Amino acid sequence: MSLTTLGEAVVAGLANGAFYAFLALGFVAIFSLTRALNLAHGELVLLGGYVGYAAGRAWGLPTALLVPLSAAALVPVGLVWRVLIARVREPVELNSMVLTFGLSLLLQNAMLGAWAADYRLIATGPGAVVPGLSTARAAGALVALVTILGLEIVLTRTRWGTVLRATSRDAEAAALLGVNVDRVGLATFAVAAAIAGAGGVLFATVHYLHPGGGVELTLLAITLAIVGQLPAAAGRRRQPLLGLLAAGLAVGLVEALTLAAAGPRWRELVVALSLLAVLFAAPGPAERGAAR
Amino acid sequence: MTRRPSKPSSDLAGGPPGPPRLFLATLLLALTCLGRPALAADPILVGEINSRTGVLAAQGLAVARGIRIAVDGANARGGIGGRPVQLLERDDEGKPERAIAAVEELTARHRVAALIGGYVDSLVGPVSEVAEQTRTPYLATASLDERLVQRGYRYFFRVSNLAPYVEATVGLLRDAVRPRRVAILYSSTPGAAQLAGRQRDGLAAAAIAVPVFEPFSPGLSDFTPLLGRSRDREIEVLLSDAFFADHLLIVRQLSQGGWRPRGFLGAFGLEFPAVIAELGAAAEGLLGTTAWQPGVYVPAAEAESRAFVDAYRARFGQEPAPLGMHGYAAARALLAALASAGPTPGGESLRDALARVDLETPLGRVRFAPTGDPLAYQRVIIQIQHGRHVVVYPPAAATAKLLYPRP
Repeated sequence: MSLTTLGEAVVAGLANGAFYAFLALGFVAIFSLTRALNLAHGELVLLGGYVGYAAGRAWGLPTALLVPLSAAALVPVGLVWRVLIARVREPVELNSMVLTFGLSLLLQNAMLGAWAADYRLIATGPGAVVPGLSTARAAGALVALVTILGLEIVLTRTRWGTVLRATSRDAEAAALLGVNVDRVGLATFAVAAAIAGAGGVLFATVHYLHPGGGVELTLLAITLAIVGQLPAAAGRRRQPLLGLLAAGLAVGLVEALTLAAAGPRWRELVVALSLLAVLFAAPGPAERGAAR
Repeated sequence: MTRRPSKPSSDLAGGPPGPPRLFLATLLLALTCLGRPALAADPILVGEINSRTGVLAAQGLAVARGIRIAVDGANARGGIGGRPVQLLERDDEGKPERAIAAVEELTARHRVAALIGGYVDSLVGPVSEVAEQTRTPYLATASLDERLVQRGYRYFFRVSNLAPYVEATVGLLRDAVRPRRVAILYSSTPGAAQLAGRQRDGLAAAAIAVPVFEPFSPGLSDFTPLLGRSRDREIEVLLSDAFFADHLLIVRQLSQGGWRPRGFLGAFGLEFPAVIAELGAAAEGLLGTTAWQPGVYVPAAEAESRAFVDAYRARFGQEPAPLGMHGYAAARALLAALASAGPTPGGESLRDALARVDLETPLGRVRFAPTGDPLAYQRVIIQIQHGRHVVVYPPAAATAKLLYPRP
């Protein structure tokens, strides 16, 4: 592997990784607040992509406009999700999976009915920012970094962020202290859906849209959520979203370096082994107790 | 005195006790049903299994629609021996376990006379296993894996096979393009892997180097490192044995990445009209293979091709995808076999009838080797020129001149 190829792989891996974290952000937000596992997360991202695709075809809008448009279009869907998930009984993790699995099937079939089973792309211009990193991927990475770091600041430096973190830790206690928990919930779901909508458009500029493609996105989100939560589980969390970003960057980097050095046949195996190694290396319950 | 409830008439007649009589009556009824000659109005049941949802839905629907056109046409002409053909359509969702469940239901519960459908070997293989066990003739509409016809199965037939893909792609590179260095990227499915191996052998025999030979698993979304490696090895032609969706990503990433090989040849999927619709200008000059294409007809079957296109448009409101013809031609072969398999087609008689089929279709002549492989399946090389598909190889079938390097 030449130095050029290595450099390109590192840049592409980091860009992909940041975007992976962005795609998982909506899932993590909902899970952190409600402990609900949104198995329809991938379909929400795809729905955002399809909304952008349809708007782009109908009105010829540029991608830069499709991103906010799609984000706004998915906010009502997020509010519906909030209402439905709020009705889920304990154990929330399990029952939310049943509910959202049904919702994912519903969305898949709705998208199949609306856009058929064809593969769709949102057109982007040719060109690369640097060799190995297309303008579309760079744009996705930039939006991802700005959003994640922006939300990180909101969560850690503002009153609203404190309220949100308090609600996600213990909603009942937060309510007793005067926090309007319902409003926090609605706002979180709205933001999560908007991020999914924006992510869908950016996803369709580097990948294709297909109604059956949501499962892989959901699995990616679950993986990054687990790995990204490890610092928090170890009692070392100071920055809620930086763990997610680090997990995304690590997965993207390992994936790209494996592809460049050993070829695609090793990609899944190396990524899976790396994730397993991280999980096993993470502190266990006893160590976590000692850390506290 | 209480009145005893009245007994069934058998008891009143002094016959044997209930259970044996009931058994006899049931047996008689079953024998009557089994032995009953088929009524003229009884439909002939055919199980059709394709992907209608999931990642292969576009391909599965195209095949299924082709089958539907052929069956509707036969029924409009009075059916087979006066009996309509009824398709029992099932969705395998692109998953082997769903395909197996569907074929088990169709053979055990509905006792279909035959099975038809399938696009990838990972689904065709399991369906053929159950079909063989139940002795139900199965005609696969698209299949490449050479191992499937090396098992000695009697009830498995298919209308496509690997050799024409090898001949067309290697022939083009050897005879017309003559590059020095070719990269082969292939999906790690059995058919694509076999195709890639055969292509590498064929290119080696023609003294064309293949310094990049890489499999990738379905679902890979970033081909940039692979393309970078191909660029580093000064590849002239990228040969991609991947599926439609993979091609969309590879071509898009090529155009976004700034490297432009002199030629791009995709074995599967580039014949789809959606390639042009979705990739736009980036599709110009791409090379692919096809066995049939709307607007590109085999002269002997031109009238039937046009009729198929018209029927497809009228029924589904869109242009037929090329794969639709695989479904149509396979269904025509199956209908011909049903017509010649006797009054109760199915099982051994239908299997023998399929083995005897010799039929001209727009896909070419359909007839089968004893292994079930097609004997006359062919593919030609197409290129996207000025927003449409034209045939560029072999010279005998060409409708336009090859543009190389791609514009």
